[in-house]
Amino acid sequence: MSPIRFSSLGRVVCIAAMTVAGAAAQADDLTVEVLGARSDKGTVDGALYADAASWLKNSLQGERQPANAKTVLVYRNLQPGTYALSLFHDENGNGKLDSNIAGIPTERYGFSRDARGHMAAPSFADAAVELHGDTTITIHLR
Amino acid sequence: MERRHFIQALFAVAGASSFGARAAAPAADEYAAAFAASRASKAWTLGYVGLQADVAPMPLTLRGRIPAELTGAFYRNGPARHMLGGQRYHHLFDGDGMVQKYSLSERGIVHQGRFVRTEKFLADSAAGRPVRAAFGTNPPGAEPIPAPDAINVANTSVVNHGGELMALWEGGSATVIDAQTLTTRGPKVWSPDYAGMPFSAHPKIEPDGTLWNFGITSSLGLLSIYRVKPSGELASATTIKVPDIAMVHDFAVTEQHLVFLLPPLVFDRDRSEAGETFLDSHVWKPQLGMRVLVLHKDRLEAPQWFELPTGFVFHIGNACEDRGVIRLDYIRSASAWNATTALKELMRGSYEPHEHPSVGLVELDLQTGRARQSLLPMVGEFPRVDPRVVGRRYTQVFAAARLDAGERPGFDGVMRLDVTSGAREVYRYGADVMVEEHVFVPQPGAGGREGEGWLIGTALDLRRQHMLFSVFDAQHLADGPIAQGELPRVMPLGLHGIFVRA
Repeated sequence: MSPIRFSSLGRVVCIAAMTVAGAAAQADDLTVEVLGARSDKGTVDGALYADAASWLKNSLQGERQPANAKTVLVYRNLQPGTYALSLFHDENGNGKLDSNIAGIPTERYGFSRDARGHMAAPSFADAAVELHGDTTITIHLR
Repeated sequence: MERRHFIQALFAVAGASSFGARAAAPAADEYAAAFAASRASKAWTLGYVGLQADVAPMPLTLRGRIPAELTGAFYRNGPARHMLGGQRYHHLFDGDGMVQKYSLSERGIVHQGRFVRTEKFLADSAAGRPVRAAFGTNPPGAEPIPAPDAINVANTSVVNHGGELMALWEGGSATVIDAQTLTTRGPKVWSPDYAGMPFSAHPKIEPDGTLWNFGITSSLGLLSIYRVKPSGELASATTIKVPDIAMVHDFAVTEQHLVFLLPPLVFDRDRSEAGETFLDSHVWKPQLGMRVLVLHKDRLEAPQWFELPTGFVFHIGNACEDRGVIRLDYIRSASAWNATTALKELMRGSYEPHEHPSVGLVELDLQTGRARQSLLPMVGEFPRVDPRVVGRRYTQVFAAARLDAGERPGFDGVMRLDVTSGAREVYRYGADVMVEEHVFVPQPGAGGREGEGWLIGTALDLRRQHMLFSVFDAQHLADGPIAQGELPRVMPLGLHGIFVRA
């Protein structure tokens, strides 16, 4: 019966977000246009994942850009293949997706293909995009 | 763990609406068709047709004179858009909130109404049909819900505190409204930790201006408690875990305690995850009785429990304490039938006089842990007291009264009840008049005695198809209104109101 606090899904998303990519051999670029930021404060932080095993755990590349009406994140030198992204608007610049005491995110977030989970975050497959040559996708934050 | 909390919280409020239409749910237009079919034969359905658009300022025709001390505004909130794109909601509490304002001055009364521009209102309006779940309806093909505020309809009550007017719902944020224009400003954030947390529709403002409120996160079994300074700044917010969390609509404060009545309408997460509406995710468990949770204001984490005979409650009139005994009054029903069934049937245009509430008077002995209850047989709802006695010794409760309303839902009069003697004074508008909540407004000035002032409120005259705004001398209800305005249009019957002095 003591007062309680919950941390959030946000941590899962953002811990992974800033992992810096290792060396990449290929020259394909994935350009992500991010819409739906609530303001131009802070940054949009996005994490790129290469497979279901690492999804929302260990990202391949992190990207961060000042938030704007349209924020563009570019992931460079990727090998052709399947990728998925999770991203959030770090409006107050504290490096994490904030949530309230019930664990519900209070900053906006999104996934590639605008995937939305039913009983959990969406699966890698639901958010997966194919990369064959330079590619541009759009993600809406909600 | 973290993700599970997040997900539970989402889906408990939303129902698993993302799964779209379910075989068990009635077809979308069944309620609309049934309601349309009963319109001609049942005059009372006029109050539940609903609106599709804001209503522009319109003067009332006034009989009598508005006392100078009543210069200000009466605001009422209530579900007002019951249908969109052919889909009618299945419960009275589903519809989008409209805040109505009756501006009062010695020159007369002017009325206007504006829908609260919640996220849900905007999303549904853009789609031309409900695309997000509601309290008692999962529309076919509804969107997944990222947070409770995604389905917040801000339709239950309105509060004025710390210089802000807010439209309130039960499952999400308060929504700040411009008091002059009724323009929606957006969700109220009390603190980063409590952004988007439930802030219920019955905050209590103590005589010193301190506001108390609570919120329930059903899926996690959490009761959050807010203490807000008279300035409107959050003093503290605390969350405790409560076993068998129930549907709780109202609470009470005393000088030292907060009191919650938990009817045995208990949240069942399995039902919610299986796709039931939020309402239908609740199970009636009469064996639990009516649990009473008492929290000391300075020791919110140390609850004291009492038990009353099983029953259901929406509203508490007031509470006070004297030498270790808390006394309160509430509107008690034998079961949750009204909430779970009658208010659904009403949306079909159907009425059955199955069960009427009575007034429950309760004493809780903090030393012995004993609870006592007696019942007064009068039928009423929407109890209100003099704001000067909230949480303090009191005798008078004002309420809408059901005197001789006949074969239709709702109320046909108002009453002033002395909870110490059981005596009451009533005024009956008539069987053709559907009476909404009336609000007590104290006579300004120091040294005023409890109940000295006015009772003001609205009603729908079914025969003449217009609204009435009435002002009573609160100590002489039976004499009838000292002033009454007629608004030549029909407004959807609403829920709770307040008066804000200019």
